[in-house]
Amino acid sequence: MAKVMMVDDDPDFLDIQRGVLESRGHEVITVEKASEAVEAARREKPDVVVVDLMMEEEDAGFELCYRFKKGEAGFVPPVVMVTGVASDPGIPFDGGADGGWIKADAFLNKPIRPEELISAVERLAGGE
Amino acid sequence: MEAVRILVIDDEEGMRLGCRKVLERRGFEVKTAADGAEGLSLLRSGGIDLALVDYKLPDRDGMSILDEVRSEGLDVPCIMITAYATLESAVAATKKGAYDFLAKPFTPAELNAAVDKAVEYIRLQREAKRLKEEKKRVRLEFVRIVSHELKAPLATIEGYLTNLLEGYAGDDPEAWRRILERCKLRAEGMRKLIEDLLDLTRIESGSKESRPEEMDLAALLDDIVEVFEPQAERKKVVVEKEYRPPIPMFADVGELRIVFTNLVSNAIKYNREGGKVTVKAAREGDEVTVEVSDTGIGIREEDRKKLFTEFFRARTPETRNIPGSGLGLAIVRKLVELGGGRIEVESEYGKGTTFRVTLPARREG
Ligand SMILES: Nc1ncnc2c1ncn2[C@@H]1O[C@H](COP(=O)(O)OP(=O)(O)O)[C@@H](O)[C@H]1O
Ligand SMILES: [Mg+2]
Repeated sequence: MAKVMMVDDDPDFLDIQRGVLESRGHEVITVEKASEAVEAARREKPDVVVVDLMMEEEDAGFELCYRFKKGEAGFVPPVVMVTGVASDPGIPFDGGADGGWIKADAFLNKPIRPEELISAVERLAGGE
Repeated sequence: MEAVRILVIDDEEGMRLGCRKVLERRGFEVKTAADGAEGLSLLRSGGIDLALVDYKLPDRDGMSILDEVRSEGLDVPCIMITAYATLESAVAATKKGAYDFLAKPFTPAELNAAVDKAVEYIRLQREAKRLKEEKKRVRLEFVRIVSHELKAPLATIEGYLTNLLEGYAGDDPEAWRRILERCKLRAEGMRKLIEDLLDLTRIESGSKESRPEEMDLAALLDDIVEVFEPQAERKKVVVEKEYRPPIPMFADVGELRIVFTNLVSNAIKYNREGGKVTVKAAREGDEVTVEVSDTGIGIREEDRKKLFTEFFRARTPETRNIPGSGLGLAIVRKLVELGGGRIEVESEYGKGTTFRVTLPARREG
């Protein structure tokens, strides 16, 4: 059983993924504001963080991931990045071509299949 | 407009120098070529907006340059310089696509007049091209937003349904019910978006011809308020009417219905429990003013400017669970302007909002 923190500004998305993870017995904490995520993680010490790339501002997700990876939460959690851009017309995005500085541990494309989320989260949380 | 670059192709040095002097004084950028081959190679390398071409060049016939320009799609208007201004040569040159011609000898004033005419033509062409590109950009942007706006609720519905179908939603009927309600809300949002889009395209394509007729605005407002009664009741919002029937107008009822339906709907949607909506209307001289006020959540200063922009929706904690397309007010403004009127908004964040529509009482044909 893992403690998973999900950051997304879409409450429906959080609600749906919460259902998926809770049905597998994981504990889920949701945060709707990117700006509050680092503090929440410091408090809650999640085993994995799931971050949506496209929040309020275009790069809030990138920025947040960067801050986690710099250890701003007091530790460096594994990060799953969720992207909804890949299939939007006109916005080419490729998880591999991120300039190397995001360093997320896994990328998931929206719409996310439940088993993809489960396997990414369980693989990354399995570290402990 | 950026500088116009002119190429002069003529074997007489005096002509080249003369043209250069006259045109450079006017702020044009001038290049010259002494024969057809040099001229063509300059034309092909780009950066030329207008060419002055001598009819008789040492290595080739000036007219053949027109052929090359055309067959290579170079898109440079050419003014032919002819020694003998015969009708036949003029006709032949025009047939080959010459933009204009100048008969030798010509005065600086004649040269300027011909060039000015061509420059105006180039300016118009560039403008048309720019507009076309702008239109294309706007259309692509529109399609991008619409597909995003449709995809987002669809993804939500799909996600919830997947959870229900694949056993990620538990088996508490209350939880299922909550999920289905969420799905329904998002589906409603999609339907509203599609309806708004249809309204908008109908207005923009001009296919929706206005049909003004003698009508009573008070009766229309009564009707709209009645339609919203159940919604207002659910939200515990009271709708008050402050107008005395009849308010005769000569206007398109269908258009006014869309306008005031949107305003009343917003006033209820963006209200609070126990809030109030007031619909005022009155005719003053040749104008009719309708005010829809609410004691709702209000609109922040920075959002007020963007209200009438397509797809704009304020993002505040209060609006997050209210479905909408962000197209309503864009449609309202277009229709009000189409009817020769104007719309204004006053709002205080946290207190309430008033939209005021002023329309001519009698719409002109
Ligand atoms: N009466 C109102 N009170 C507060 N906010 C409003 C009101 N009317 C409109 N708005 C704001 O303007 C935005 C655009 O309105 P509209 O174009 O009608 O789109 P929609 O209602 O579909 O979101 C709304 O999302 C809301 O944020
Ligand atoms: Mg609306």
